[in-house]
Amino acid sequence: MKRRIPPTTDVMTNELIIIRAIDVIDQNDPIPESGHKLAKLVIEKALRSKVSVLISFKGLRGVPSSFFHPLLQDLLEKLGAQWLMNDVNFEFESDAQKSVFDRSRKAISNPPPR
Amino acid sequence: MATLHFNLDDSVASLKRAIQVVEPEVATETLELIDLKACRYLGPLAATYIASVWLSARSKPQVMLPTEPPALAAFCRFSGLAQLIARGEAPDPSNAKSETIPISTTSDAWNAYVPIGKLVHRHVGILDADFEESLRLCVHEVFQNISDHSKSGIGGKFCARYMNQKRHVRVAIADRGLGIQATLHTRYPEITDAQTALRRVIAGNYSAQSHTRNLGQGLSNLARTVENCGGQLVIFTQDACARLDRRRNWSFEGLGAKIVGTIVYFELPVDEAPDSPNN
Repeated sequence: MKRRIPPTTDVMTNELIIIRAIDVIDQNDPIPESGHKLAKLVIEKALRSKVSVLISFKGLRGVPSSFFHPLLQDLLEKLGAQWLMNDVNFEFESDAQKSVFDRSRKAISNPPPR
Repeated sequence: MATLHFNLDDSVASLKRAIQVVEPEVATETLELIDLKACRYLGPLAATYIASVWLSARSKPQVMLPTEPPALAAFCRFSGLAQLIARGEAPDPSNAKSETIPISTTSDAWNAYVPIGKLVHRHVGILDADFEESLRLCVHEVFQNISDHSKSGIGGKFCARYMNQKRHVRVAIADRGLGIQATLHTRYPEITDAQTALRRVIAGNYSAQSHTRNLGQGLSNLARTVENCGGQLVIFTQDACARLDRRRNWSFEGLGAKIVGTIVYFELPVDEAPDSPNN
């Protein structure tokens, strides 16, 4: 049986790992699952290397908040607020996408009241 | 028997009247016939509502569709209403002249936008990238919300129409699930009415957390996106609705009857890409 070659999910330079979300996401997966999947990969890469991470959302369209919420919450839990603040950058497809992301990011530090 | 002898023109007032006639019979399981023969206009909001009521009914009511004027008979066909509930002709979504997407469902939130995008693209040509992203985001947020919270037995049903003269797209998405207030009530017992629930979810940061990672941004993102596009949005849930008009004013009102689940309806003005051949 032929082994499936995984797609290129990251590009590594001396100072930066670039992870392209579009290479990780399987559009047959539920949206929140896709967020978890991307988070898992980012966590693996970040723990293995000391360099900064750039997560690129280029090429992904109409990304709803239910993708960003699990992604950001998983990253926050495993890598911490400091890492999220200082060691990761994000690249967006559009202003609308960035706006949804920014609201999600704000929401994780101010979760719904009980 | 529910007789709707008025036009269902995608306005809040007309759907409210329909809800007041239909839903009491749904609640008492006495709905045997929906008579639309006297209607002279039906829009995608009406088509989605009627289809969702019909699909969720345990005992299927008979539906009498209008046969004139010809444009309305065509809408009944192209929206899929005729085939779905009156054993009429099947719609042909690939017909270049069709301005309507037949009533559909999807469990695949990533791709729910595809047929709507194709419809608008067919009539407009190359779409402005920001407009396309906004339309896609609106559709995805609504479907994800249905999937996360509604517990709708029919999933989400949607229908869309491109209005050539007005140059906007109308999208209606309905579920027959719990409704927003009933869902929020599980986490916030103090939210006991649907208007308050609507105000909360539109402002954002209120979530039933049906899934642990929910943070209550979905409908709020939808509202902001429609607002930024200069569009209109109406959310009907249980016995209330919230409406955003083109001047960015919000209003909240009671429906005078209680619907099962939630209906989201929005209109977005269509922007073409600057380099579109139509520009």
